[in-house]
Amino acid sequence: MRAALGGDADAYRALLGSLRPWLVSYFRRRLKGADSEDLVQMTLLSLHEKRHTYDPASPFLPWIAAVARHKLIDYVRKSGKRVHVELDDDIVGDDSGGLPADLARRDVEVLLAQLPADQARIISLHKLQELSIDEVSATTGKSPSAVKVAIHRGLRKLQALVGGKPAETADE
Amino acid sequence: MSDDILDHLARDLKPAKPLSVKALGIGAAVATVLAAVYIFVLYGARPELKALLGGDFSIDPMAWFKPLLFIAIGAGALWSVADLARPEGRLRLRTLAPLLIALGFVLVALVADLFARGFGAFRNIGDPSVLCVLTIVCGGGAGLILMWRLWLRRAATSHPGVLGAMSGLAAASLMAAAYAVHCDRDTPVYILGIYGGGVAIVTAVAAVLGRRLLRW
Repeated sequence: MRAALGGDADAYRALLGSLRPWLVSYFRRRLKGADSEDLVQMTLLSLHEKRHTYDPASPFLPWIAAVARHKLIDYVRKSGKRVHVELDDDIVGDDSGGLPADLARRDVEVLLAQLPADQARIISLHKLQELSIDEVSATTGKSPSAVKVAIHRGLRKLQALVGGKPAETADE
Repeated sequence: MSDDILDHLARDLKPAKPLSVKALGIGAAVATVLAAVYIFVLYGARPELKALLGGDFSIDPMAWFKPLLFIAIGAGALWSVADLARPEGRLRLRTLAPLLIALGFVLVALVADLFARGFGAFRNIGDPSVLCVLTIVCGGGAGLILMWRLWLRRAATSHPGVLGAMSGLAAASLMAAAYAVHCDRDTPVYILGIYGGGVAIVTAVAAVLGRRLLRW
């Protein structure tokens, strides 16, 4: 998206192409009808017209999820249909199947960059490279309990950054 | 759905300048300074500020506290505007904190004044109050139009009414801060009723306009 803001048409075309399946699944899940194709088109048009409101320093997926949610609510208002709209859209929940992996990866990098370097490294080792707490502890030279605390606090901070409610993380 | 729309959008792509929070802040700061200069030149500064320019620093604290109060409210509201202007943005308590703290201050002062002077606190509101409301409403309205032309119409908010209200609150509060350069009426009743009234009018009108104009 950053490249698209700069005018790179190829990157933009690739982005739109990779977003479409996710949008199709997003609207199908909620509308269960033929109108979901129209909504995908409307969302892509809105993405195009309002692309300058994406902040290049922020994760992209919460932005496009908010655009899609806005279009859905607008559609429901106009058509008077009843659909399921989350009050607090959880984009990594049941929609994760169609999420473009490269976009998600880039968002994780953006978010991790906002944490202190040490904390980001510990989370990256444990959650992305899937090392155990003991292995992370050995790699970083910190005690296992310090590693656990860093992960717990880091994840809470990440959740706050994407606007989610801080929840208990079960796998620490 | 064919790929036509994707190809069409990609062909139509031109470099887009991201919506800049910095530009909003600088624009608001410049507009506030210009408004304060306008008030200073056309209305004249309040006596304490004139004395300050003459080197007399023993002034009534309200002379600087009142503008500061409205600058704080305006800055908080402007922060809300910056948040709300993006689809994923929402109203957060911390951006409303300056407004709530300021309201708290004025209400506490009002109660203290009522205890000290009884209903005398409501007397002597005086003539310039119409001028005060008019200045805040007209100046705030002008600021709002400017904000719309230069920044707000590029926004894509999920909460048009709230974004409108916050824009009105920001523009009117900053105008109130500029007007406070001239006005030496500092009683809590005056600040709450007259200043607050002017700011509330602009905020309410902006909320209604926002619901219509900020749709996308």
